[in-house]
Amino acid sequence: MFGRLRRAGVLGMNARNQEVISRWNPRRHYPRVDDKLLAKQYARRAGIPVPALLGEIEAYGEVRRLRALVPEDGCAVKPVRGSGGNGVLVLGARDGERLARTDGSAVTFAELEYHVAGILAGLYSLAGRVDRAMVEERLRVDPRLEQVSSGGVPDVRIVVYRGVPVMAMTRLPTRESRGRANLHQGAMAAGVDLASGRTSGGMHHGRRLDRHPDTGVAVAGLVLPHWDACLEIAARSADAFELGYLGVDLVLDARHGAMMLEANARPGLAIQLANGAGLLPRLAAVDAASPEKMGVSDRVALGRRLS
Amino acid sequence: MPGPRFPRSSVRRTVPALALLCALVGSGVAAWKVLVLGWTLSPQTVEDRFSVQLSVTARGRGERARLHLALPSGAALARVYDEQFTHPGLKLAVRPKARGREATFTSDGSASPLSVVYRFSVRVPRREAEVPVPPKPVPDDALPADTIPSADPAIAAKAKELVPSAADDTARARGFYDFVLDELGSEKDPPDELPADAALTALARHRGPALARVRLFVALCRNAGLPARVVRAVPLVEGIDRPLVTRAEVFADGAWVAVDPVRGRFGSDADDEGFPILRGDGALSRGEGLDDVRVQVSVTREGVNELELAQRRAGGEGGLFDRLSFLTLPPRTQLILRVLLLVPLGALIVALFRNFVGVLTHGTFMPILVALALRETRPFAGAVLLVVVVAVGLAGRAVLDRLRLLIVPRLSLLLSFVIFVMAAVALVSARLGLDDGLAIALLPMVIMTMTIERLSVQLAEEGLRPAMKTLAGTMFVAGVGYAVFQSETLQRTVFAFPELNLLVVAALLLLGRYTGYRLTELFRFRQLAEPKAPAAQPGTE
Repeated sequence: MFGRLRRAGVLGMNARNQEVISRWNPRRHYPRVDDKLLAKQYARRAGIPVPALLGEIEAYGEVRRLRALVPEDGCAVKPVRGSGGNGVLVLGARDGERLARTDGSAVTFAELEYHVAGILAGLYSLAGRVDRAMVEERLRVDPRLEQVSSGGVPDVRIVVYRGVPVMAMTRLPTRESRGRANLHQGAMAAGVDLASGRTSGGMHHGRRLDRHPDTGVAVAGLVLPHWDACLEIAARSADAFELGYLGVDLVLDARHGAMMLEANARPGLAIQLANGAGLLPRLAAVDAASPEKMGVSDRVALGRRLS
Repeated sequence: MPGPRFPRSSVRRTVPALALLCALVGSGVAAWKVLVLGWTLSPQTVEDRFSVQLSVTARGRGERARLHLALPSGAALARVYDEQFTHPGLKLAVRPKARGREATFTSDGSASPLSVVYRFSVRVPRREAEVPVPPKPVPDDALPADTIPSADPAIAAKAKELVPSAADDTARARGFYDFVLDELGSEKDPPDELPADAALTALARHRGPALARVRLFVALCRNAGLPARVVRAVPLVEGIDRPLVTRAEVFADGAWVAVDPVRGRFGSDADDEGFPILRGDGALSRGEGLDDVRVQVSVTREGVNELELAQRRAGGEGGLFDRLSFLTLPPRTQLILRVLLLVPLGALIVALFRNFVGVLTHGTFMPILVALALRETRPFAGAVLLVVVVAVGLAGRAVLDRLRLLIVPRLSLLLSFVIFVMAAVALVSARLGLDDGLAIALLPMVIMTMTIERLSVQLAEEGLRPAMKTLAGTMFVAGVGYAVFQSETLQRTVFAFPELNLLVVAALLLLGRYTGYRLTELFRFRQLAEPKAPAAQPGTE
C-alpha cells in the first residue's frame, strides 16, 4: 500500500518522530531552540549572525516600555517560546500612535499592548505556558527577492541531519499569509538545490504552483544570494544546539546578508513536497558517511553533493 | 533498497517482547477462565437478570428514629434473588404489611446521616405464564383514601358519565383508561410530594403530573366498584438514579390487570415496564424522626452465566477469580467500571486514528472525553448539543476578544459563558419536554471551554478550513469511540475478562514502535509518489 511512498524515499511523520527526532535530538537540548532568546545566545557564542535584540518584556507591568522599545522604522514582536510563527507581529514605520503593519493595515499601541499581554499569558507558547515577548530589529527583503515576496521577508529553511545540510526550501510570504513565511498560513514554498542555491518548483497549500500567487513571477530558477553563508550557518547551528535533526530558519536581509532567525527541533515534512524529493535517501547517505568527525566545511561539501 | 538503516538498539527487541508477554498473559488468563473454569467468552444471558440497588439516605435529628422501606412482596418475590441489606449502626426488622413487606431500620439517634443500601436481583420472566400473579385485593383497594378521593362527587359524576354500568369490569377499566390517557395533558412532576387532592385538581384542569393522573384513574375505578391501586415499579433499564415508573393495577373480572394510563399500556404490556416494588399510594421510603429521606435507584444487567458458572465451579466463594471478580462489586461501581475498562480500547482507537490513519484531533484524549460524554446524552442529541455550545461559545469568544482581557480571566469568563449556555439549553429542552437536557451537565465543560479557545485561535491563525478539519476529526474519532463504549457485548466481555486489556496494552506497545507511513500521507505526498517524480539518487556522483 505504501510501496510508492517508500520507493520515493518519503520520510513520514511516524518515522520522523521515532527514528529521527527521538533518536538524534536529546530532550534536554530542546530549550536551546524552543526558547528564542536562549537560541540567540547559543548562536552568538558560536559566531552565527542573528537579528539584533531590541528588548524583552517579561511581565505585564512592563508593557508600557513598548513605547520606548519600538523604533521609528519598525521591528518584529515575537513570543519567546512561540511555535509555527504564531503570535509574531511585524511592524513597519511608526506614525505617532499608529504602527503600520507590513500588510498595509495599522495597529495602535493599545492593540500592541493587548497582543503582548496575550503573548505573556502563553496564548502562543508551545504548551500554553506563561511566556515572554521579545522585540527584534526589523529585517528588510533583499532586493533580489522582492518580486517573490509580498508584505514580508522570505526565509530559507535548511534541514540539517547529523550536522549535514540535507534539504532546503525557501518560504515566500503572500498576501494570504499576511507577510508571514509560514506554510500553513498560506505562504508559498520553493525547493532549493543545495549545491547551487537555485530554486526549483513551487508549492502552495500542499499543491504544485509555479508562480507567486500575488505577483505572478515564476519562483523557480532564482539564485538565492549568500547561499554559501546559509549552508555554513546551518551546519554550525547543529553544533551550537547539539541537535542531530534540526530545521534552521534563515533570513536574507538587505543589509546584513544571511542571518539565523530561529531553529526548530521538530521541522515539518512539507520540505519534501517543495523539493519534489524524499528525505530518506539523503539521510541514508549521511549515515553512511559518519559525519560526526567531520568539520563544518566538509559537512557543507557533503550536503552539496546530496542534491 | 533506499532508506536509512539505523543501528539496532535494544529497544527494538524489548518492545515486541514486552508486547508478546502482555498478549500471552492476557490471553492465557482468559483462556484459563474459559477452558478450566468454564466461563463463557461472550456471555449470553441464559436468562435476563437485573441487579437493583436502592440507596436510602436521611438526616437524623439526634433522637430515636425509624426508617421504613417498602420491599418487593407476594408473588413478585418469586422473581427476587439474593436480597442483601447494608445498614451500618441500625437495627433491621422485616414485617409483612397488608399489601406487601416492609423493612424497618431503627436508630438510637447516634447515626446521622443514616445510610441504608438494599440490593436484590430480579429475573425477567420469559413467558406469559411466568408473570407472577399479584396478591388478591384487600378491602383498602376498593375504599376511598386521602389521596384517592373515589367518593368525591366530581369523580362519581365523571365515572358515571364515562362508562355505562352494564359494561363488564374490563370494559369499564378500559373506559377510564382511555379517558385519562386521551383527555388529560401532562405536566412536569413537582419536586415535592403531590398534595392529597392532586387527582381532583387534575380532573378539573384536564392536566396534571403522572402520579396525579394515575391516582385519578384509580379513584375512578374504585368509584365504579373495581378494586384498584397505584403501583411503583423499578424500570429494568440499566442506569444510575433511575426514576420509578408509576402505574396502576385494577382487579377486573377476577384478575389483576396492569394499566399504565400515563404511557398508554394496558394489560401485560404495562407489566413489562418494570418490576413492581410498591403497591399502594405511598412513598417507597419514609422516616420517623428523620429529615431529607432520599432514595436512589440504580439498575445493572447481570451476566448470569459467567457469574453462576464461576461460582459453581469454584465451589461457592473459594475461587481466586471469584473473589477478584468485578461482579461482586456494588451495581453502581460495576456500571462505572464497565465503561472505564473500555477506555484503554478507546485510547487505542485514538492512537490508531492519529498514528496510523493520520486524522487530526483537538488534543490527544479529547475524542475519548467527548465519546464518554455522548454516552450520557443520546448520541445525536449530544452531538447537536456539543456543536451548539461550541458555536455559541465561539461567538462569545469573538466578543471577549474585542474587550482585550487577560487570558486567565478571559478563559474563566468563557467557562462561565459555556455553563450559562448549557443551563439555557437544559431549561429550553425541559420546557420542550426533552429529557436529554439535564444530561448535558455531564458534558465536560472545561474540555469544551478549551476546545472553544483552541478552535478560535486556530481559526484566527490558520483559517476556517484547518479548524473545521480538526473539529471534524475530533468528532469522527469520538463517534467511533462512542460506538465502542456503547457496545454491550464488548462491555460485558471486557468486564468479565478484564485481562483482555493486556492485549490492548500489547497493541499500544506495538503501535508505539510503528514507523511506517500514515494513510493520510498517501494523499499528502501523492505528488512525490507519482512515477514521474524522480527519486533522488544520493551520493552517486
